[in-house]
Amino acid sequence: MLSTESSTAPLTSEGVTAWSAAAGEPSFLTERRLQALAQYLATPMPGRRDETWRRVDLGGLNIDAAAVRAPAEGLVELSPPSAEARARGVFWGTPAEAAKAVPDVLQRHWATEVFPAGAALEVGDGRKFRALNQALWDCGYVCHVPRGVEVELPARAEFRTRPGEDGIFPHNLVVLDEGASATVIESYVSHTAGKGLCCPQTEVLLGVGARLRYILLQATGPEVVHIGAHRAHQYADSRLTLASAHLGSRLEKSFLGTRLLAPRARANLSGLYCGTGAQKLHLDTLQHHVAPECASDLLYKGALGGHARGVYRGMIHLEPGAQKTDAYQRNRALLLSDAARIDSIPGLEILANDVRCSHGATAGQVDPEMMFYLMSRGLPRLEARRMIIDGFLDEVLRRFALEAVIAPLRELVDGKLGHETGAASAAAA
Amino acid sequence: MSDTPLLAIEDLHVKVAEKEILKGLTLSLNRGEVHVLLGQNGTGKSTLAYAIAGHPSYKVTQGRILLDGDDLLAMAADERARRGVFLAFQSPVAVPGVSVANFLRTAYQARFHGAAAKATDKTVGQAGGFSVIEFQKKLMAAMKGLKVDPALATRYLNDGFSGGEKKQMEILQMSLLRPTLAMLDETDSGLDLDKLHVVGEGAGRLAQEYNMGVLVITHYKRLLTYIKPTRAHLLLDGKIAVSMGPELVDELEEKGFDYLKATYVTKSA
Repeated sequence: MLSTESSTAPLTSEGVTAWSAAAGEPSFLTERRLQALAQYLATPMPGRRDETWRRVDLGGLNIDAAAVRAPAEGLVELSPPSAEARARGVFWGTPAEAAKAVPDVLQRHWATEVFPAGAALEVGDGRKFRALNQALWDCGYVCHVPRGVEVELPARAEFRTRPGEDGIFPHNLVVLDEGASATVIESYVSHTAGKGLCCPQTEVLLGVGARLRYILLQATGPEVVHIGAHRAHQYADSRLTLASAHLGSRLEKSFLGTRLLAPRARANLSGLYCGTGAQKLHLDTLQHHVAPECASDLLYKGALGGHARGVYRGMIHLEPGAQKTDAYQRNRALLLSDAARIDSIPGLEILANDVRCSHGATAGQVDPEMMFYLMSRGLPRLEARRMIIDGFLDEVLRRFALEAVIAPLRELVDGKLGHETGAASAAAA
Repeated sequence: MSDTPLLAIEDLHVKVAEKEILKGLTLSLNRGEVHVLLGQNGTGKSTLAYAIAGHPSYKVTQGRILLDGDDLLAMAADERARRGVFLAFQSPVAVPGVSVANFLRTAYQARFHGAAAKATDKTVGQAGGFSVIEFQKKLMAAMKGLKVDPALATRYLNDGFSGGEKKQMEILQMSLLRPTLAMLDETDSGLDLDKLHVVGEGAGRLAQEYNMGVLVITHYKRLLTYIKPTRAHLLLDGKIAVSMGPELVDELEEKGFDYLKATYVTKSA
């Protein structure tokens, strides 16, 4: 377990070096932490002049407080790796274990390619927070599946936020070698009250023909600020299914996306968001087509009640070489109250000419004709409303594909919205 | 039998979007009776059905609607339905993402096992005397009786349904919910002859079997060969202008509205 002098400020090179040394990390990891720290210190806090962050109100987020960490157990629980998978060379474990078991995987891929440490990334993305994660990461998982190996059982990682103002900085790496396949379920929850920062980062590398089902669940506590980045790099003929659910936190700003770097890679991106109370959910997606003949299909759907606000920013970026691309992007929101709000900001940057590409966004309220139809069959108002909302979300829920994920997710959403509609009708009475 | 009619409508005035459509309509219907509402488009036939069913956009400004002597207007649409009011819609809305089976089970449970029962919880199949398995049997039998393709049960409600499938679905709901008052709003429109036979025959059989009171809105005589009317009303400008026996239907079919108006409507005022 890690132990540091609590007197050493974490956001200094001394603090980071001490932290890394105490954890017995290999020197390349220490170096990457330090590169990221330099980048963090050199990057201004995103502000209102930055288009990507213009609508994000970080409110009372105190990064210095979030960065003051005490060693903690139980930040993450990983499902046990199956003996069979291990026998076939699959690695599934913490970064510390990976540093011993698969150091070459870490050395090659950890903060080098998808989110390179210290590199000035694209303007306007979450680079300040990416650098923060890379300097301070304190937990995480590594999944490596060697060439041609197919892992049947999903690997699960559940992260728990810390109490008080303390932050958590999970850093994750998924590497599927040529022809490998796996399912990873990554979730963020809160077992204690906390108003700290949850700042995860996941790097995914899919080799030629690799297939990954990647399920992400953000269900942190109501005071948490969640700022995450999850991105894949896809090589030829690889398949990515990324389905994410965004339910928790006071404020979320997540960057989700994929870069299709070699021909015939395919990505299916799905997002379900559900905001109530005064929640603010900001979701930025990227479909970056670099190579020809790739396809990406994105569907986000959400329900917003109370004073919740959603901001969806979607970018489809086609490089000049990305001919014969199919790229689609849809965001549809259901507004459950007059005060709820959604902003959809689609972005298309198309530098190739032989492509099929479309985007669309809709927002609406529960259809009164549907309500009347269901009520005219005896369903009470709240039940009719719940059924219509569930039906609306069903399309995206199905894209999570695993019944073991869909059923509990449906319950989480129902519980959340049931509370909302109940509160709304009580207020109206 | 008591003297209270199943449905009693007295001097009913209904506005839709500030426009008065029904202007003092009075009607009484007993169980076992089939009344057909005739009239040109815009005379208020569907408005009457919606007002009875409790559509919030149809505002009753005057008059009463009683079901078994109880004030329907004091009840929301869902309560009216649970009391036995049923409207087979002319163009039922699609509800994407809601499967037919789930919807029917929930509606059935609301009607017969208390509205509060949670229909979606498969683990509590026996809650409130409701058995999922028994319902499933009932559903299969009802579908068979109305020649509904069983595959329809897994589809989203009315979503992408053909005109005929939508009408079949309405009558299937009538079959499961067994209303005391069934209103058929142009259930025969948009049906080919085969489907008309199945739907019409099914509706007629159900009405008889459960001794329903039925209000039929139609422009055609065909449907009425399956559901024999006991009485016919001609609507004119938001009121019932003529009420008489079913022979009115034949006269309308042969001679048209203008003849009926000229013959039966006394030119008052």
